[in-house]
Amino acid sequence: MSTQNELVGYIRLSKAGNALKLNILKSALDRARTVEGKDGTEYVSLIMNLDKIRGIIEGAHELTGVCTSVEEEQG
Amino acid sequence: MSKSELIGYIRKSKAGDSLKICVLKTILEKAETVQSMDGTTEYLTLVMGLSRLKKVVAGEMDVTSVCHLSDDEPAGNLPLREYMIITTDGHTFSPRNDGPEPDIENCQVLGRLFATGPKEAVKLMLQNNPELIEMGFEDVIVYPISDEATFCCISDCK
Repeated sequence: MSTQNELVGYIRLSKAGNALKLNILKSALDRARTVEGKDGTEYVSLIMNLDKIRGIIEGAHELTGVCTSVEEEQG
Repeated sequence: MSKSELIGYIRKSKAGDSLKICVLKTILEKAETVQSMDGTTEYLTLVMGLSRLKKVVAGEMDVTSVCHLSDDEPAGNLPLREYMIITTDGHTFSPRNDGPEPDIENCQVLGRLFATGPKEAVKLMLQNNPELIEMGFEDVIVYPISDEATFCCISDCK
């Protein structure tokens, strides 16, 4: 088994410019990596590159990808 | 009317090179979706406040919330508001107290969470932290949080 990052969506600045909007593929959620909170609550874990997010906030990038870790069988 | 529902949080990774989002799986499964223009792909839309996210990116805040927007608001559903719950019950240790006995009688923060009202905030806090009842906490003060927190050092404010 190997862990790979899979693109599951994208993030961009809202039209009003006061929020970041994240769009995630619903079909990818079943395969997305989950983590369990101390109280047993299950969370889907997503990850984004910090430099790219800085670029969106500063207006240098329009959008960037959002990934999740998925376990894949090798061979 | 558009309703915003708290479904998770975002924080900087321990390595400091990425942002990590954790969203409640149970809510995601039943959340409303939007379709792509060609109608073949379903997306969930989540939203984060830019001013708070900037602070997380800058390292001034540890986490901020992630919300889900939906258009239809059930009748009688009140908007969520953030509350801080404090208590004067119990005693605490001052930073230089290495002894076995607590030496401060101050307020302690028991919880900070989103709810539709103060009573619901206390109820949710007890659901998440049932040990508070066994610890003997009884009287609490529930404050709605109306502004962003300011972090400062006491030595800088003398």
